[in-house]
Amino acid sequence: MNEKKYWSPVTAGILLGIALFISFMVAGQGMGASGAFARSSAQIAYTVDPNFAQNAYAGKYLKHGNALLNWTVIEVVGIFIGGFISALLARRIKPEVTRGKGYSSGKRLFFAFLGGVIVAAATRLTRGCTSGQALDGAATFSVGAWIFMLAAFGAGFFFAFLFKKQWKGVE
Amino acid sequence: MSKIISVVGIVLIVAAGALTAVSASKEDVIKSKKALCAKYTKNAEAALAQKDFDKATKFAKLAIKVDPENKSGYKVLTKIADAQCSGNVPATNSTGAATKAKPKAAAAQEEELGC
Amino acid sequence: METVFPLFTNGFLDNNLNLMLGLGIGIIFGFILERGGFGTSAHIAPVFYFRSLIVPKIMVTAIITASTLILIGSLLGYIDFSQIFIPTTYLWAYLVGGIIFGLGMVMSGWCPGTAVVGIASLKIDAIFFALGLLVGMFFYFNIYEYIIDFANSGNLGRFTIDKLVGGDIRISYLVTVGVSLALLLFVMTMKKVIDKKGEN
Repeated sequence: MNEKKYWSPVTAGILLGIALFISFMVAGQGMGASGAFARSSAQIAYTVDPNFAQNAYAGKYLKHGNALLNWTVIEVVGIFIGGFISALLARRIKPEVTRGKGYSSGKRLFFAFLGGVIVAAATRLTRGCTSGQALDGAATFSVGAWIFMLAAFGAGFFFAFLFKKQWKGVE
Repeated sequence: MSKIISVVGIVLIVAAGALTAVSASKEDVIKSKKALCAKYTKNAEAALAQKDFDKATKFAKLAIKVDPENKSGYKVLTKIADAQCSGNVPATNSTGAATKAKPKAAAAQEEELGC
Repeated sequence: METVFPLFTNGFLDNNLNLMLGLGIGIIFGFILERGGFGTSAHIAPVFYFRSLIVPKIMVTAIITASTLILIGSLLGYIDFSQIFIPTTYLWAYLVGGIIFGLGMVMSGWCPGTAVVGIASLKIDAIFFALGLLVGMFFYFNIYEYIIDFANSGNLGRFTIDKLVGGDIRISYLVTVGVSLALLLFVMTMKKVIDKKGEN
């Protein structure tokens, strides 16, 4: 990772840790993301079919009116805005399909999509993702966060060989 | 250059944290719980004085949760129940004067201490 | 009124103000993530080949920073740790879910939080990942009733480290720092091994 206005990971980590602390101190919770997607999915399904409110899982999102009226959802909108501002200032807004050298865009996008489906289901089991479960959980001394992190990263390293070609020479 | 500063930074943070964790004693942990309990109790009494029974009860319960052995949270709950039943807000230490108030309509949170 | 943190859960903030602040807090998160390089899967995927350390470095640093502040604030009596939200630990769901998550993450090169940042800079693979997330969520909603027992198995409650090893917040902190640094050291060593292999 070179020049182009990036902070070093340790710098970003310290600032992120301070931001997490502020979030805990104000809202009582930290950075989250998967919950926003779960709620969005539930709200879309409900809009198409109001009977969806009976769903065993999604029902709880739809009990109190719009599923999107929630701290994590709004915080995720914030993440988008903040990411946009930073990318804009660093001139990093550019449509592209990030992939290894010579790898097909079509295949890449397929795996991006499939990976999303898999990650989504996983986050419902793990009650959060690397932000809401790993980062927040570990910062608040949760054992579950470490169970999640070891399983997730362990699996990531383990299954990496399957996707060598997709990532070879990526930048 | 900034990389060095940040590495020094995280080293200092770890050092500060480890030092704190190692030098703090069991008594310090207990003291912090008592401090929280005292704050919550104070807030409960303040809310009670303003006849905000919901808030007062919430703070009283937090006081109990944070230090279950401390009786002050329970004492405030009793005061709240009294105030709701009789319409009188009991004297608090700060003002030393009881004020008459209309009892809050039955949004009674404390079933076990009811009238 | 004596201030006790967290503000919202202790009744010092009304819901609307909390939501507005949440937006601001999110903006800060997003900015930091993008500046840290997490707006592209090109920086995330190499981590799983021990070719980059940015993910463990930022996570370990953030965890240590945040938990240090929480430790000190709690010991000083300003923070009511019991009011900070921690997801319930479900042992088996976390183990299996974690493995599935890892597969999905190395496959796609994203996680939900970073993907939001990726979308903001028009990474098309992030957009497809996000669409996959929405579909995956819907899929889970529909299978949930069949796996409901497994999904809630191994419920250990609000399982903090001190509940596992005994003690209080002090031991929780020390174990957290110790494990974080040990894991960071491990991946750093693995990267050196891979680098050497590359040279030969």
